[in-house]
Amino acid sequence: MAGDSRKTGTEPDNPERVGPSEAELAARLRALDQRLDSKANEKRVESAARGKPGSSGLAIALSVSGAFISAILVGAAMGWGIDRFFGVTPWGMIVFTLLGFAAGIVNVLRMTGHMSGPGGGSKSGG
Amino acid sequence: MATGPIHQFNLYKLIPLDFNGVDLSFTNSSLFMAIIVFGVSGFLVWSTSGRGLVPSRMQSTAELLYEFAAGMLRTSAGPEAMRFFPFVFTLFMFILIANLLGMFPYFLTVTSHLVITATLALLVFFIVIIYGLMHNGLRFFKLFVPSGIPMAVMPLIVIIEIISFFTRPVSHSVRLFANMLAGHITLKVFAGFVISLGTLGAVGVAGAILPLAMTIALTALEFLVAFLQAYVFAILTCIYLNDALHPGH
Repeated sequence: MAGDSRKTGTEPDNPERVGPSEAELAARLRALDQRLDSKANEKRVESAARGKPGSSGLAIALSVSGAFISAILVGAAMGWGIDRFFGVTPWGMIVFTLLGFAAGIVNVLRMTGHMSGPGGGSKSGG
Repeated sequence: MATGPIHQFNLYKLIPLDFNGVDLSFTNSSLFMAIIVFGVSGFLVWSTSGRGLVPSRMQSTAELLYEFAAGMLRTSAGPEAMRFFPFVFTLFMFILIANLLGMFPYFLTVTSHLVITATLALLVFFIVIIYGLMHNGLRFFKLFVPSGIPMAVMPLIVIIEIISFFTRPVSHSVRLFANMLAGHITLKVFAGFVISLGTLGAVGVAGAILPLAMTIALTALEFLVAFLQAYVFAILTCIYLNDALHPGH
């Protein structure tokens, strides 16, 4: 066998020299499987946090509307604080309530998975 | 009916305490929290005291709970987040047992009070901020600066991101509180229908079967919600901790 391969100059006949062996390939495949599994796990965990599987439509409605309303309230509260602190009375609250609406939309889009998290990475937590 | 559906959330002082005008009374809520804390710690210490290689039934329950919380933390915030495991596990067990204990008739559900859930959510919020600043320094603020945004709209986006960040403790606490409160009120209202229909004679008793069936179904649903909300609170904690560990992901 060894003599043959030397004569023809082709290596594939020699099982020791054919790149990675069968066992190595199997190990690689297993590693890949594991990585894919952990990725899938991450996905599942994230979507579970958004309340998709195993929860009713009411639960989703509650949490999404809660995220929207709380953003407006937080924006209004921040505007009120800025008004008090800097004495620019109506403007802080007007501007920050509107920004709160924007933040609410951002929250809802993130929750429903239409927008990635801050940083634009693959991870869309938050 | 002698008591309304809200009566179950009443707080009353068991041991009145007053420190210079600050009311530190031991209420029924405190009693239930003490029961939860001692119950959970006692159960975990007792069930793992055998340390059998082949776990007993109780030890295996404790191990399952540990594995569940540890897996949740590892998958959502990475292996280095395990330093927060004691915190997340305590939080998860406290809320889980508080929710489940609230399912007993005449027991108070401590998580149906906004004070409790807001305190827990703010604790998570401040741990994320303080640890994020300690661990990452100024890189923590990358959380508020999305990449690939034109400079012109950057200030606006940063303010929106900051407002969005500050809504976290609000929705985090209100979600648990609202679910527990609404569930228990619904349960009590339907159970009240059974009583008030039952006083209307034979037709009323026959009609009372409907709300009774509803009450039974709702009880099962509430057990699910009790577990699910504890899980959701813990997993959101993990995701927020992930931001503290890896900002700008």
